[in-house]
Amino acid sequence: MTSKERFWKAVHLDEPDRVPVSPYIVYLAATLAGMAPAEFGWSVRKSHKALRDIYEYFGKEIDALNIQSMRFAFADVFPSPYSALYFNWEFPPNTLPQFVQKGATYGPDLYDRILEEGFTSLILPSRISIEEIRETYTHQSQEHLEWMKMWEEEDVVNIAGPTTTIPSDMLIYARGTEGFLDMLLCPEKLKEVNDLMTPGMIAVNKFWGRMADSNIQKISIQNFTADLVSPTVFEDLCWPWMKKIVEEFLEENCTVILHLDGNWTPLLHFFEDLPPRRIIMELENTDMKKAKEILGNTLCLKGNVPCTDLAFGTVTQVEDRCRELIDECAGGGGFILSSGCEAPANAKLENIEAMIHMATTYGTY
Amino acid sequence: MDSREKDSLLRKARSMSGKKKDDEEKAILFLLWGRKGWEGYKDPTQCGFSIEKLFEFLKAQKKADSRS
Repeated sequence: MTSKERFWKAVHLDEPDRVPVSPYIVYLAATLAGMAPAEFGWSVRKSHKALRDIYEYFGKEIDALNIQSMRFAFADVFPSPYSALYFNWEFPPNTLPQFVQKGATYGPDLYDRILEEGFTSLILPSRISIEEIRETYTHQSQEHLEWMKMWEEEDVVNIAGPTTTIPSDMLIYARGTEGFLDMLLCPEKLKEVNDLMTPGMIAVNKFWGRMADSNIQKISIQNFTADLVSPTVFEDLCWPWMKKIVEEFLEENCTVILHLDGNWTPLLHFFEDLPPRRIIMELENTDMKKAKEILGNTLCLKGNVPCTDLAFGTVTQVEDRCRELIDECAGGGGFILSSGCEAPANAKLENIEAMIHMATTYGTY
Repeated sequence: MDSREKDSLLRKARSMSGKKKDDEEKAILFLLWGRKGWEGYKDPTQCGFSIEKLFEFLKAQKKADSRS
């Protein structure tokens, strides 16, 4: 069975020949290539080259990769938490890009301002030059397309896709920790922004999907996890719009990837009624056994070898965790062995190797 | 033609359908410039969206930024 067949069988909740394996690799590729993270992040050519190197380093046994360049996220002209035009990103020379959140930058009047003037009112052109943005959309895009032709010849699924969130999730980044008070003090404002701006967020992702000819749409919600809000707040201020986004993408015949960092265990039941066999749920600190119990007949789970184990653990620890995950989640298909969120830039290569080895040996059906 | 190719064609066809495209463009304009709109679009509910328009906006904003 090819990697592509294996991956899609798992997504469609069928049993493939073995558990697909897909460590979430971004900056780890830079580490292997000996590149500074910012260099990797900003150069389309270098990021593709580094991804290519790491794919070959692991014997092309990784079934799915995020084949992308962070440059397109950093130079995004549309509102996104990753865009250096809208938010304060710093790119230190020798360490990972940093999202700098400062409290009291915007007051609670931000929601009215966004409704009145739109998300472009968050833009500070001094954060990134227009020339850099233009270069991203012209030469760098062309270079990306050239590399993608090469990738298409490989037996690996590209699970990179346009990523969105709900509008209030993004505005909480702008408000800082005060944003969590807004959930209690002015919930109706958050709802109003979500109601009026969610169609735009959906439309932007569809636009990018068409531009990149991508059948994958990603939703990454960061500020409404069970670590940060109660299920009641989630149901009131996040779920209706998150569900709407999922449904709209499914209506376009896309595969939806829910990238859910943090702990989502108390929120899993919300996803039970979504259409089956169309969604991949990438989990970080969620109880995978519970996720399989609640959602095993609905969607494909992907996760979640802890980043700490990959960076600081032993091969035996990683193997034990993989065995546990395969035992708990692989039955009947619908499971992809992966890291919990991104495999860190300082992950030990032997630990990634151990994860792949467990999928190809212990993970057979 | 496999199912993915059919899906791709279907998506493209939908992207061309007039009303849906108009709705999406209006939604993007509202996301970017809200109720007030941007004067670069005389009427934000009537004009289409393009990346070039957004560059024009950024350039105008950068000028205003450097003056302040």
